[in-house]
Amino acid sequence: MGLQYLISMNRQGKVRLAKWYQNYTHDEKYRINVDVHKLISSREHRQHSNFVELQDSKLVYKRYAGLFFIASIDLEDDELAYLSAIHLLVEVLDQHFENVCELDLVFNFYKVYECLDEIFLGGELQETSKEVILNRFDEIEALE
Amino acid sequence: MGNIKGLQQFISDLRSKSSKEDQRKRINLEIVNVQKQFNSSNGISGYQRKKYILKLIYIYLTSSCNSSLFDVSSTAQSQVEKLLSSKVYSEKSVGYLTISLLNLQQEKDIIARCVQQDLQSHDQESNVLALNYIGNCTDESHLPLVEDVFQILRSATSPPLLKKKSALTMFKLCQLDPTILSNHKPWIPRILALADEPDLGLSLALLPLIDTITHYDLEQVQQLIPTFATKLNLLVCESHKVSKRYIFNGIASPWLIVKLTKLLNKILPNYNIDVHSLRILRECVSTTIHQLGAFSSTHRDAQERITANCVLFAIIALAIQLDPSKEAVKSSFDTIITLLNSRDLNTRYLALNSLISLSSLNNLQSSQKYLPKLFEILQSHQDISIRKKTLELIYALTDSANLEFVTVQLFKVSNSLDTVLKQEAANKISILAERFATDSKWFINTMFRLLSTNGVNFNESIWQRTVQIIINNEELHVYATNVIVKEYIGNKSQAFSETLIKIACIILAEYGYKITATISQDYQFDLLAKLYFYVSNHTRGMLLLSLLKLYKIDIANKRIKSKLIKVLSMEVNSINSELQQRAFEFLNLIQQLGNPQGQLLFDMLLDEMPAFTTGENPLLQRFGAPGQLPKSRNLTQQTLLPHQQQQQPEQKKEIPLTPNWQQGYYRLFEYQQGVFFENSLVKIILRIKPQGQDRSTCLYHFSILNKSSQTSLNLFLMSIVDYQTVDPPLVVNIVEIPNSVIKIGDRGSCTIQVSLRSPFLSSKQIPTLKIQFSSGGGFNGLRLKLPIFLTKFIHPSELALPVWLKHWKTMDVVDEASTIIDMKNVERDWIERFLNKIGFALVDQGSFIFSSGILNTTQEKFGTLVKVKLMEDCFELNVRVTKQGLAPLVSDYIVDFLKNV
Repeated sequence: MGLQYLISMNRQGKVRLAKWYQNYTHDEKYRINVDVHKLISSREHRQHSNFVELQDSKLVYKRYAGLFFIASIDLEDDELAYLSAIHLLVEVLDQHFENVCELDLVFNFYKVYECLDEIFLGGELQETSKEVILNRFDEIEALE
Repeated sequence: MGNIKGLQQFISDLRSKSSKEDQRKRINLEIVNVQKQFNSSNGISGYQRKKYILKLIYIYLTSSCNSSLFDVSSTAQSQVEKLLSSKVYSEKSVGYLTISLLNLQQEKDIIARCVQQDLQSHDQESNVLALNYIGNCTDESHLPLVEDVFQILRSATSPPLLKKKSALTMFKLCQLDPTILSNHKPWIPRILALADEPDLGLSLALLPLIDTITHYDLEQVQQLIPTFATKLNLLVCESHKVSKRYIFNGIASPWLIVKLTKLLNKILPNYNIDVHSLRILRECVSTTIHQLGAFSSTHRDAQERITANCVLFAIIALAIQLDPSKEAVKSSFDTIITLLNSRDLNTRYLALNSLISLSSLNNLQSSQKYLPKLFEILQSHQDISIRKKTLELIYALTDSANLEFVTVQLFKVSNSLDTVLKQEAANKISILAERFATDSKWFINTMFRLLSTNGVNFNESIWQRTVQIIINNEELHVYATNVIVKEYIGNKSQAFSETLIKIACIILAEYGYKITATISQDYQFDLLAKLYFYVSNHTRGMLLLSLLKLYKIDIANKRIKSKLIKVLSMEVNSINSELQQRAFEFLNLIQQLGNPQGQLLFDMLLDEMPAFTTGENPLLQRFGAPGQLPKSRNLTQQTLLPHQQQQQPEQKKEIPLTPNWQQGYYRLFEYQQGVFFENSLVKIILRIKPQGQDRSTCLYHFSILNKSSQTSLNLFLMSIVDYQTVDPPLVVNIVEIPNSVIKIGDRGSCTIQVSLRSPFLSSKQIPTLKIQFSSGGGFNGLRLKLPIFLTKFIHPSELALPVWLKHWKTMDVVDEASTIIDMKNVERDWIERFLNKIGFALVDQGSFIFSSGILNTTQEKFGTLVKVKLMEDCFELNVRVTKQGLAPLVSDYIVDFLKNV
């Protein structure tokens, strides 16, 4: 159950965010990044659904401008729930960074990790209220 | 955490380099710089440490986590301890980011120590970081921290943020070590108590842990069904009452709806849900389908549609759980299949998903009319995800009636499928053929055709199973041998298939002699010998044995002998030791044929293959009775089957009842109203009333008084357990559930409705009432056997003595229950009153006591007569009932009571 990993990468495959909820080795992480990019970038987004299987898991992904957000979930997990969760994450980032773009994630990658930990924990949803998450995000930002 | 200038500069700098090589150079320069800083004897400030580590992480991430470029872990590890133990939040936070991203194996002890300190700290932010880390990167080294995590979860002073985090962290720890919950049973009610909290974020974060608890104590989770139902109802039907902050795309916490329905689907089966909860769950279903079904496909924007569909599919799954009738499933199927025409690809994909799970519930013959459409999608859809789901659905819809159609179509489209799907299709055909074939010849043809398909790697077991079936069915020997020679390996126009050659090896060697009238043995031998050089070593080994067996059939055949010896002599020098050994041994066997012992050994070794033990393979039984579908569908290839067999629940251990339960239980045998249970906290009074004219149903009304003078009873839960759900003699419905809080001096009430379906209700089958509540700091549980006696369904029927005697005589003596009961100083009056109280009418006069009553079930009525003969120090009780076998049962109830008062 839950997320195995959550990755954000651009169309060229540059990783902007990679959060792992299982204990992968460096090699496994590298392999996943490469395989995921190969698979996702081969799918023309108008003709394909947002779901595709990769080995023993299911990728749920969505492209926002030039950036893919990809979640790997178990085969029996709900695709739509995670697709909505990805959207929630993007909306939170969008409000926090005021019209988020790829560059925001590039320069603030460490903050994005902090934000992620307020939405997911251990690959499970922890909080889904945008207001609660954003308030918490501001609270963390204010800490020295 | 604010901005870090040096880091931003480095990133801009790196981004300004256009060529890969320049970037590479810049990165190397930076790594050298960072290493130098870390090794410098002067030491660096916390700020610098944080900055350099973040630079390393940036490099690591943007290289797709490629650690071959530089060893990020060993560069970073020296700084981890200082970062983690820093008093500055941003430094500590970067420390945690480092350990969660870079696998720092060597620093495990230091990390464990820092994490524990932070977990036990009074600073909330340190708790948060530690919980995040344990939850995200759970491993064995965190197991000793589980007590600390639990303390945060249970503490009344923890804010919701910490409760959410500790609930999820607990969940991860319990997943890693399943013994945590079984070793800490008292934790379970405390965790479940949180389910009532109004914070929706906490409700959501708690569900994975509750889901895990179902594996340890399903019953306790099932008791929360009213709580879950109320919560679901709040989200679905009363969303205007939900705080705005939890509305997402117009729906109140869609994720919580999805997770709640999933949990309900898991805990509802075989549970006797109370009428109230059932009603509100049905309301959730109808409201959702009414509201979302209508506009999910029309005018909303894409994101809103996704959310609406997400909830819709979850609720449909719940609806089927609530009403799993064939008609309901069929109509859901017909509705959802229209979504396959949706323009939205995600909707189509999920519709398929939903249809697959529907088909697994029921045999949906009427849905087979959709197969042609599904084959069209399978062949022409652009998205492999959708094609794959379509194949699964086709598979789920196949049965013996449409097997031929499906396999023919699958063969037809097979060539246009991608490699992965082709493989799947092949596997599925083989399973379908095994599961549903009723014509053995058709099965053989299909399997041969399948195994001759190119470009598919077959699981070994598929051809082996085919061979087993041929061997065990004598009528197939000649047929299969003929087909494989004439249509496949002897047919030049057929593509080469090594799998079929393996089958040919075995069946020609065994049954080739049966077809020599049409295909000469020489031809058979040449056919196999010719293939020798085209196949793998493994198959060559098989071929050698087959050639030897063919030779055995006609030892006098010189031509075969010389050819065989030629092949064997060549392989004696084979570089493959297995083949070499075989050839050597076989040559030896042939040389020893001259003497009688050698001949004997030869015959023994090469004897005809015995049949496989049947019974283990249901397929063979099926072929024994063509035209009939077998009941058993257990194939040995379980892994390839679509629906995993449901695991048999473990035999439940009997949980002891609460001490002193007997008092109230027996009191209510005699009386219709009275104290059912009492202890220092509660007093439960029970009133039993027949419902309506039909005496087969009784209402049990419980009134629960909070006796404590200090505390209210919280989380008060009542449920019925140890209840037989399959063909039950009793149907028990909870009509009214008590409020979850009973204040000091206040009463709660609960009503259950009990109907007797079958009179054969032994006292062992009487269900138990389970009550749970918390008061003060403690959790209390009661288990009380319900006083649902057979006699509660007996009502008096007045008879005149002659009529009574006539009835008594017509009822068979054989079926009479007669018991002597020792009781001193028993008065005639007392017995008469007793019989009267438990539902019998007294018949006028006689030296005996005669009484009569009618036992009512929902289906039938039974006349029941009781005769009591008074003696000195004892009396004799005789019972006769108009139904065979029932008298001892009725008598048992009365005797059990009399012996226990």
